[in-house]
Amino acid sequence: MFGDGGAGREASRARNEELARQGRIARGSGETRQKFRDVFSDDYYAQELAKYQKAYQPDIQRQYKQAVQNMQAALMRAGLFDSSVATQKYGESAEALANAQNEVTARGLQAQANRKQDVAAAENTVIGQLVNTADIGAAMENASSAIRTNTSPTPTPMLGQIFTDLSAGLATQADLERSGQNKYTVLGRIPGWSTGGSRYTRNVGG
Amino acid sequence: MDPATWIYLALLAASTAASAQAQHKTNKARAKVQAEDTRRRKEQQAQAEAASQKTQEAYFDSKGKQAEREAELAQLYAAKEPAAPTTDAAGTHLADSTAAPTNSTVTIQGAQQEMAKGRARAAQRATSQAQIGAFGDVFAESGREAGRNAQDIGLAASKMQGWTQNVLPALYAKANVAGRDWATTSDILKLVSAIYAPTALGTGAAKGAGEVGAEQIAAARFGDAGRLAQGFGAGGTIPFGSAAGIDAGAALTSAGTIGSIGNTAGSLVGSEGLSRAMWKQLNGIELTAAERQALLLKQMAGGY
Repeated sequence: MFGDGGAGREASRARNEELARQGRIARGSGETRQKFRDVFSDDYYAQELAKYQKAYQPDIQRQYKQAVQNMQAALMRAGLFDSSVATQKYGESAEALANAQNEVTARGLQAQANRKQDVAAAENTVIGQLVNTADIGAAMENASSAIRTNTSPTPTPMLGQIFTDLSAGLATQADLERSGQNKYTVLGRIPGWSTGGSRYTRNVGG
Repeated sequence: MDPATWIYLALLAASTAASAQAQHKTNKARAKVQAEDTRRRKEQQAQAEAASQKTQEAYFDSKGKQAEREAELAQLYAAKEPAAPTTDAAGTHLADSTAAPTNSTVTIQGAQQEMAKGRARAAQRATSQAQIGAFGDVFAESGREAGRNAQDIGLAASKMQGWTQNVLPALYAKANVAGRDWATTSDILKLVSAIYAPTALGTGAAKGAGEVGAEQIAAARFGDAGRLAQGFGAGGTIPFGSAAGIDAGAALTSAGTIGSIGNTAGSLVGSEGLSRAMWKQLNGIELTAAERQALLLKQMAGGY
């Protein structure tokens, strides 16, 4: 007859339960984000990139040495070891080496960007589950699992042949130099202005 | 008015006041719940706006951020200083310490110049890569930040949803019964006043000239118990149309002296007598004077 028939008790219970639920979600999401931030920091990504670059160095250096040796052998065979062509080839070799390093860096950065996306997606999934369950324990387990998955080593596929053209054209060039025809015949390329050029000139110019 | 009537009126007034207080308390409690709900909605809106603002900031000054990222990437792409040519008894090793040596100064100088040019070309290429990469990186980072902010908006919405679904109905249920004590009090007062009414308005109260007492009205409506018992006899089974039934009605209605309304014992008639008189009138049977008077009195009292 008097009193509220338990409505006050029920309201108090509902309020406390909901506030507790919201508290768990707020705390859990904060902890989850912190956990991800702690692991996937700027340092982590910088180290991963460095590791990635380092992983390719032996292969790059091996291939580079091999390519330079092949180039020098070809220069020697052609009798061009000390020549302007040789200096150009050294320039090309240096450019190829730098390009190879850049290519590895670019791949590393791409792997880093992919990892960042994966990490953000994993974090989002963990917090999404937390919002639905309000279970901090489960969220932490999911976070740990997602972190484990995303801290696995980044795959480093083989580079393949990166120094392929350093010896190209050396035999022809040598032949041309020996016959004194290693220059472009500018006038000979104009119709009616033939200088009686040779097959080599045509080959190189055309 | 006599004190009993005053008490009766006071009970009615208290009942009305208690009812108003009940309504007031309920309204106040509901308003409080509504105010809290509004506050929480505003909070949620503020959180969502703050998150949205952060997203806007994430996309703000993207050119400046790109320039910054470009510089970072350029640093990452920067060609490592190549190993300097090494010279030993055999000559100078240009590309690598294991490379075949040369003794030609022209070749060494020319090669070094060409190598520097080659590295410069690679660096130019790297700069372009850094520019392209910076654009993508800045927007990817902004996208991730926007994702986190969207998640914050979702969290705020989830809080509000939980509140609306889990707490608000219970709070309203509580508010709706906030005035229950007063409402019950009002009901009790109404009951008491209803019980007290005959005392206040009936024989207990001193009647003025020409006033009709409550007990007289009640008896006129429902009949006098003694007469009723007399009229119905054993089980009240005398048929209306029978001679005995017709006479019974007349006997009942004429048993007392009808003229004086104040004389309860003499003038009031039982329900059965009235019913039988009514039946006779409806069937065209002539009524006795007592019966006519009884019917008239009943009509005046609002019975028929």
